[in-house]
Amino acid sequence: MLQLKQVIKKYGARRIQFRDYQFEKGGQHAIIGASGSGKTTFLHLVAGLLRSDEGEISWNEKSYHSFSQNDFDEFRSQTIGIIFQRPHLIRTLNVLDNLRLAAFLSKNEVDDQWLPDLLEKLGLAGKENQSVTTLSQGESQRLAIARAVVHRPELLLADEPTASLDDQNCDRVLQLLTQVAEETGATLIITTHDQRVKKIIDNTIELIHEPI
Amino acid sequence: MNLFKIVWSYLAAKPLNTFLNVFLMSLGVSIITILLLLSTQFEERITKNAQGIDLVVGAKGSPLQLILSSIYHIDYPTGNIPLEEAQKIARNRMVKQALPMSLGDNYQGRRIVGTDTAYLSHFGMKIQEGRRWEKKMEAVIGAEVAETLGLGIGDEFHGAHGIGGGGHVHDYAAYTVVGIATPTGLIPDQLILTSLESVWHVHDSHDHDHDHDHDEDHKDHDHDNGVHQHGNNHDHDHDHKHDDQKETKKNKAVATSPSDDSDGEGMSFEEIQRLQKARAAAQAGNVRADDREITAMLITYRTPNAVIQFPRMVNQIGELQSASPAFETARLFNLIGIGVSLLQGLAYVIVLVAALSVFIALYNAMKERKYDLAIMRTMGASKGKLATLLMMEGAVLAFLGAAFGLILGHLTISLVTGFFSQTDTLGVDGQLFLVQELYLLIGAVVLGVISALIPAIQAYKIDISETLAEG
Repeated sequence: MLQLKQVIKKYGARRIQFRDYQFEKGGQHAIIGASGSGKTTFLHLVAGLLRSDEGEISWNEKSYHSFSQNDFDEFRSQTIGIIFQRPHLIRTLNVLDNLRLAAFLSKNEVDDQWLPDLLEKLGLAGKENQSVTTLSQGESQRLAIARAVVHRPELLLADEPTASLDDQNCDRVLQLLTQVAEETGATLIITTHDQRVKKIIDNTIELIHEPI
Repeated sequence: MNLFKIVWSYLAAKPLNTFLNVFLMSLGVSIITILLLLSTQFEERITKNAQGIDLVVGAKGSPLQLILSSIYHIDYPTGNIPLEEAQKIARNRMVKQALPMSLGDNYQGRRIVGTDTAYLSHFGMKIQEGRRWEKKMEAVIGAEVAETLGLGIGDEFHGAHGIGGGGHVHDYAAYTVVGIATPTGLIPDQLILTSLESVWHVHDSHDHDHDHDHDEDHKDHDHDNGVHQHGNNHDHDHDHKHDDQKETKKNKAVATSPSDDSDGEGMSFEEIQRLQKARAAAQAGNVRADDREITAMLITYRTPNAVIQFPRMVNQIGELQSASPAFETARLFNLIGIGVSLLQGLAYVIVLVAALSVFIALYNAMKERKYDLAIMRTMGASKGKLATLLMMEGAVLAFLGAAFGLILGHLTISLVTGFFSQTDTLGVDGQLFLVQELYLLIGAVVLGVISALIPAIQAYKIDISETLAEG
């Protein structure tokens, strides 16, 4: 279970104070907010990419404050999968090697069948040895999803995953995210300003931070 | 998947950059390798071949030339010395061993050396096949000569005038191979060894032949090495027009009588007169064996005190000079050392430029790859892993450059030694690997890591959130 309590993040004079949130294990949530509402900050705080200045974030009742830098690296590699607005694939590696890299960096052993299965599921079968530079935007985003779940994370975070996609691809990506999260038992949190997400994800939360 | 595969994918994605960095590094390393191989092997070879030789006695001239021609068989000899003087020196109580040498002929570029059998023992040459020479015109060939010229026991060959190749062939006197020496790794492996008497005999016969048709001989036979003097009995009194300035002595009539098998048929009146004069001198006993000459003598001292006294004593004898191999080779190394140091300096500068180039490449790459690195961090890569990735890239570039440089250096040496027989005499082997090369390889890799240090620190300090927010 993920919990946020009175979390404040400061950017110089600007402070963002978040409401308290609680995300149950295996749940699927969409955090919807306008631009500048702190969606990315929220996601980065949850992923441990940023540290909160005040308040507490905890995973399975273990406070992030107790995490050292190495603990966060370990935590991310074992527990978290992140999908960004842009796929950010490693352009020098092919499709399969992008997935292998994720498995390697997360230090998780991946069985031989899992990667082809994953690619199959995401409609990328047959493209294993293709350079990622040859993939379409939709394919790249799907590969980014595959990369995020390759180590079967418990917490799947997606930052504006549909922002640059058309309706068809948006639906497909969201379907995939929910399906993969369901299959891996992961808690899914999507931060977005895209109202189309509401069609797929029932549990939507408006991100409102308290101005200080 | 492993770090190396990631590094390789980045290098392969920029082939021109990678090639230039590797090429620059390999250029510097190859020059260092060539100099290392040349100087190390040359020095070792020079030292090894001069072991046990304290002094060389020969004709006056350049002492270095005397050493190079007598021990290393590279340069032309300085001239000849009277055998009688040499024998007196050999009998001196300070001398433990004196090895006489007569040079002047070759067979297919391999020098024929007249000496005594103690020469074989001195250089540790055992007979692997056949026996030592016992009679005139018998020869023992070095292992390398046997291999390259394909000579075997019982084979006959004719020496040619001069110490290089292509001189006038002494086809009137054939050598017979009676022994093949074991390889020693020293210069004598490349020599044809025979008795002093054989060399004298060839030139005695040669002189006799000259008496017959010296006009023709002098057209095609240039006496360029100036050593065609030992034991010869040129009784023709014309001046040889030797072009080579190295010849320090005029030919003089000494030693043996001309062969009696000449009946003077077809000879001019002057030639018959000269022949008769020589025969008469021989019959009258005017020509003594003591009047023969040798080219040089390799001396080993009996006592260390001889180092000071003995050379001075030799140099006081009119036509003789002494040269210390240790002193002359040290002088040679000093002379060569300046050039080697300059070239080495240049090579190190090239290696440093290569390291700088690696740094620039990685520094620029860091800007292009910061999103990649940030993404890797989100996937669980530690800061240290990213820094390692960058340092590995520097190390791989440097390693490839150094490895290609080493290969290039060895190939160059092998090709050069294949083309120039002179380097063959020096015994420089392109296939020999030195431990210093391993240090060079390690040094280059360390330099590669150092040049990647700043980009690695940048990778270590990368702010994931900020970088991803920019993207």
